[in-house]
Amino acid sequence: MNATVRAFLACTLLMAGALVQAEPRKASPAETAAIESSEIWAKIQAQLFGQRKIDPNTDSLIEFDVPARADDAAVVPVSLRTRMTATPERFVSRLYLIIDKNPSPISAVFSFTPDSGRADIETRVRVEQYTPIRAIAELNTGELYMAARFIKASGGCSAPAGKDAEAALANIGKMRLRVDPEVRFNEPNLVQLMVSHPNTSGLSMDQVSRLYAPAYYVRSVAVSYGGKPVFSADVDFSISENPHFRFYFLPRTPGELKAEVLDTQDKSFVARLAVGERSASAAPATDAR
Amino acid sequence: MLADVGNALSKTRVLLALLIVAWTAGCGSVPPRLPAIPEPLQVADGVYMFQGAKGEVDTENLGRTGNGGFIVGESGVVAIDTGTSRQHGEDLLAAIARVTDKPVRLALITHTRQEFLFGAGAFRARGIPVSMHRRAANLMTSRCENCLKTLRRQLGEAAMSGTAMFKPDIEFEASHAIDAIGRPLEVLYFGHSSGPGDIAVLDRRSGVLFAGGLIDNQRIPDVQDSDRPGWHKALDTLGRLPLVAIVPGHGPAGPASLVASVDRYLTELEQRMAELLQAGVALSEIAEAAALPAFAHWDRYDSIHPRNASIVFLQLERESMFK
Repeated sequence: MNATVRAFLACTLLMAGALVQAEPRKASPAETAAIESSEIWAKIQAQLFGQRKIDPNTDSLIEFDVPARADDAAVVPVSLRTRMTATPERFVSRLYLIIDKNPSPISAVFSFTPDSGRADIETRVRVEQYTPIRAIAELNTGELYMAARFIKASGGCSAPAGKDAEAALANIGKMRLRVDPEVRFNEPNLVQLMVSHPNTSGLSMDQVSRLYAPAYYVRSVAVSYGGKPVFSADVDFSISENPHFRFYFLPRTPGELKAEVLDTQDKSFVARLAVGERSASAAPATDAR
Repeated sequence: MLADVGNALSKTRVLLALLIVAWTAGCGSVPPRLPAIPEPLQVADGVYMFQGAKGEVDTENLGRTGNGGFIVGESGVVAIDTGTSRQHGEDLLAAIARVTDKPVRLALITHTRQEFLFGAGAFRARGIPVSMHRRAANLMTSRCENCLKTLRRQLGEAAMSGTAMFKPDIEFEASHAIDAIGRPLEVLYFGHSSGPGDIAVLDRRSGVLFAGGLIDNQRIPDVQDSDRPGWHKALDTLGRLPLVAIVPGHGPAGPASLVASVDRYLTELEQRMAELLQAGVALSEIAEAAALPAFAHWDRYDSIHPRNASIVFLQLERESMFK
């Protein structure tokens, strides 16, 4: 990417960011009620956290970005950013993503370490219907914080998966691991991980054939750098086709970034990427397949 | 066939003045109150269009956001697209009857969007066969039950009363001539383009093209069902036809240069998304980063354009994985 494009993009994104910050979306009273009185959430809370106290008003700690209305319910971008500098003594160890009205509400549990540098994650999810969506941050100290939103998404007129799912199946396990080629040591660096996988839920019917594609999805993702874990995710079919994750790691020396993915048929896929070998500054973003 | 079209056009007198009326009618900033019976705009001798409302579906416009039209031949009428609801279909037939007492022989559906489909019941109830491409019909079967449900919720039972899913009387696979009304018409199919079964209808006598999903005017085209390379190819072919005027799927009728304006939008959208993908921009940031100011004045820029951006971004991303 040339410098002009980079500057232009940076500017666009900066403006976009400013707009988002200037106008945080307020949930309507009905949406707030749906968030607060969810029976599903009450059950999940008991199951995951028992009697532990959750601070419910934590937008200061979690920046939780979901579109108010999803254009494509099959691919809804969800971004969780924690505003906390990780120290070995106090860091965000887990982020839970709960989509109350999805068939499997506990959509993802992301784990971080001090070597993550920053407990941020962006992924893409399926959203079956209008629903509260929650991010819960768990600190290594045991503290729990929650941010909740309401999202309007439903199947509606969205095109059924067909050709795309076939392509995903044909290319299953192909992975792309990408970091900025100019790695910055001792600070968090962004990683993009994409896995070619149909990630089918077993719940969606092809209206023409009237058949259900069998459930077949990515179960877990584990990423390490230099042999030490930096990010992992327990996920299911709430994650969109071709699961995609953006997260950080904190490199201190050159090393190998390794991502291992396991699916429900116990197939395992691995991608590796050498980080920190500064060859040419003009090199394109580094990819591993 | 192209040479034939050229010959036909050279003999044609098109009512340019009326065409201008049609354009300006569509460019007015104040949305006209919807008459119970839609007003047909004459595009050429024997060629009429109904212009849909701008903006999102609401109870004011009754979801009647798509264009339609009809062509009057020596012995009958071919209707192009059928409207949003059973009642809309009835209204279109009433409007046609005000212009001509010749019988409607056929209704062609250009593509699978709710505002072109669901009036079909009104035509079929009168024994008028409804014809569409097999792949357009399949797409309808696969998802339009949901569209209909959503429309009922948005517009209310009364507005949608009698509206139902249907199976077209005629399904076809390829381009073909229509010789039902004593006026030569061509159904043009280009393969998967703006949609899998999208067609255009050419009136050879006037050189007017009903472009359906292939072309919108002053309105953001929807890429959701498209095969973009196929769409570019179809536009390229259309660009070589000696067209005199185009009735787009949405927006006012316009000159042949509408073909190029749609192509330009698609190309700029694709270029922009390729840049953003290369830059590693996150999907959550795409909607804001996708601005194309040159098209900001087009109808539905705020709703369809961001969705187009996400769709193309994801497609390019997938292509980069699979290549």
